[in-house]
Amino acid sequence: MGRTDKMNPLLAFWTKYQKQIIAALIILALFIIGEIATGHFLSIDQFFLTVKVAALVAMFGLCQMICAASGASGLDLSVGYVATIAAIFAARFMDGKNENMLVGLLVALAIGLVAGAVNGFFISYLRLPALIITLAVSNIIQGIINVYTAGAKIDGKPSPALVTIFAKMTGVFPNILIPLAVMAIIAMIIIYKTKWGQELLAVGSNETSAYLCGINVKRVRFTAYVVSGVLASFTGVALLAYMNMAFKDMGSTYVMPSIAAVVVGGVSMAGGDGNYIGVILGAIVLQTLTNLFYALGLGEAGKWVGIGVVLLAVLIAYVREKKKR
Amino acid sequence: MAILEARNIKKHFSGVTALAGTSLSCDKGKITGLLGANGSGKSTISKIITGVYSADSGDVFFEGQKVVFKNPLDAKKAGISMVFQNLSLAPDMKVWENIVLGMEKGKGIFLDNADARRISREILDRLYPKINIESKVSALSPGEKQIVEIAKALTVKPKVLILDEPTAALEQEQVRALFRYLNELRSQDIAMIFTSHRMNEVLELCDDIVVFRNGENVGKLDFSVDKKDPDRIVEMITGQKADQATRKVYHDLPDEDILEIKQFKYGNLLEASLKLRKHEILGIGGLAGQGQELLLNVIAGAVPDARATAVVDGKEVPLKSPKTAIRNGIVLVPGDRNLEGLFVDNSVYKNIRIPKLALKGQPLFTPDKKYREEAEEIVKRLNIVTSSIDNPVGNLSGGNAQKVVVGKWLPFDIKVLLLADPAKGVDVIAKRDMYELVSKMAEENDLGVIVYATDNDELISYCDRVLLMFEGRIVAELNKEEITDQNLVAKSMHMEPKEASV
Repeated sequence: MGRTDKMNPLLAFWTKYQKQIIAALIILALFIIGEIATGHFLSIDQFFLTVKVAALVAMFGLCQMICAASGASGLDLSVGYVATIAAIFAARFMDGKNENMLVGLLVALAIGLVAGAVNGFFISYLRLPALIITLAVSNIIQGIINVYTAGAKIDGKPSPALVTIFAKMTGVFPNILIPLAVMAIIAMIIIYKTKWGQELLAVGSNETSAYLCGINVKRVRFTAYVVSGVLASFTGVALLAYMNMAFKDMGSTYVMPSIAAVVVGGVSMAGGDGNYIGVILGAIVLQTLTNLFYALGLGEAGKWVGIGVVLLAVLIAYVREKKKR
Repeated sequence: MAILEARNIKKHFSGVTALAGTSLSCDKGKITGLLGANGSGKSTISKIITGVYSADSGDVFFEGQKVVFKNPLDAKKAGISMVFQNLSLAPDMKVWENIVLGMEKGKGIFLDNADARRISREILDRLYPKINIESKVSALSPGEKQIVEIAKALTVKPKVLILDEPTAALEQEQVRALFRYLNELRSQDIAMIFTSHRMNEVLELCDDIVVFRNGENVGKLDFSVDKKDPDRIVEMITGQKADQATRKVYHDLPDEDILEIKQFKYGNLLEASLKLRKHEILGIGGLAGQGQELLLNVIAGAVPDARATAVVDGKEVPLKSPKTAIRNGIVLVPGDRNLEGLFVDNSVYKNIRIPKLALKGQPLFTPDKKYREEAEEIVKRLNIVTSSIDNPVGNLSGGNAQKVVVGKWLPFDIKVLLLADPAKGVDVIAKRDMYELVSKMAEENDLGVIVYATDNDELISYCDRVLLMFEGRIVAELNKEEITDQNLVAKSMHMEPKEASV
């Protein structure tokens, strides 16, 4: 390849944000299809409602993205039960009072930290597959929850302030978008601007090169899972506030969509990618699709078929693109 | 009358001539040695005979008949077995399962495993009884794996046996066992073609030899008539009669060591110590795969289990991680550019930026503006051809990508630069540019350079001193004018048996 002139800025923008632009266009297309089919799909209210539900998937999606970015077929199947157990204990400690909020939050985050450290230890230091380890940790936590709920009733409530932040609306605007936006900004800065973010992406892109460049590969990958655990427990608290209660399986339905959001958002599951905006868009695509299937009267079954088809389509498109390079 | 004859074989690989009308034949009850440098076409002709590749032109005759085999199994069934250089074993299967793989006999719809075990046991009993046929191949040592590979070629008694560097992975005792067995096969009238880089083995075992150079027949000796003259054989291989002084200018070396690696031992794989002077370019040579790359990795801190210690510019440094090595000024340009040196999907800029993360006192937020300017500098200084520093490095040509791997270390305070086969897949001009840059850096920045090169020309043209390695040990040292092709080949090949060299 010879020296070429500076690229046309529009083309450069397209090359750089291609996948995000495509995701945004898919969302738009789905809304238009819904509008044509049902006549009451495209509205500001409907859009914000979709985004509100998608926000929780997107939050779990950040866990998946960080684990995937660290390479070695990374993902975190334990986010659902980590979130659930964190929510159960947060509810207990908060007991519906604002003055207990901090304690409840810290307890939740500590649980996430421990779970993430266990995942990270086995995956990074013992080099065991993330799929198996996080599934095992997930099952263990599920067992703990079952034992706990057999002996004690799940009670307690989130603090009212958290409910306001994560569940309430301001007019048509869902408040949860504010913490999501804050999370997105912090995540983007950490991934693209800090030393740890650079190390994470380097490890995910090429472990051997990263090691020979002097990066402590094991420590970086370990921290990725710790961060994922902490974020999962934080999302558990958000979920608690969103639902205004904690229950046994509250987090488990989010696990698969959170992985799907990463894929649909155009972030490589093979590692080295870290565009969180893509994950958020991916979560919105999935939620819009879900809503569309409900609106069309196809229900739960239709929704899963739809998500499956979209996942396949996206993967095929990206694999083809990789091959072309 | 030869039992096997390949006549006038031509073969091109994407424009490169591997064989230019080359011939090879062997007789019943004789072992024919096939010799030549790396890339001279030895493996290619064996692979054409056994049907791995098809020839562009030329014919293969077996027992007087013209033959074309579809694959090695086809050839094996006809009576020509080949032992491959790159092991073709299934690591998770047992020894006996591997030996009969592809030749399994059935008993109704089931496999006749008892028979398979018996065959495997019989072959190994005669070849090397120490191997348990029930162990998994992955549990064997490299030498034992090679023996299983040889056993695999003998499940159907061959008429012709082709052995492509069978001894490269073997220990001395295993070589003895193999030779005993090959002699036994010779007495059973089996014809053999034997490839090896080890002169003493060829002289001991073979009845005659054929020498290839650049895909052509360049010589033939029949030891029943001709003398076993190693110097003459080396001449045939290199094509150079006298020592050629291709290099005149050597670095002026101050009497100051920049690096010392204290004597260390890493299992059976590596045992070494060395000293490097300031401004010196030290070459590491020898046959391929004798532990050269491993040695560079140890010095770069990437083999913590070797527990080696370095003295860098007077300071003692434990070689426990690449990070420690880098912080003390030892940097590595790895041998496999794409797998070990680059982040191919990432931009030129990111590739240059990533190693900085290893430095002490790296700020929490990366100072992109400063680093981008540095990256632009490097691109300009090394004349890296790229549309911009944001271009993914995977879009660059091999030579330019290699410049990025070298260039990323330029802003560092380097004391020792390690280069593992830096000119692999790099064109002539880029190669010269790179060595000139390295040579200049050595003098201007007061550093020492260690370069492992598979190409002897690089060692001759650019090195002040060369260490030759054999089986994980440094076995010879050549200084300045002693670095000639003749000497390099001779010292790499004129090896005494292992017992004598330790």
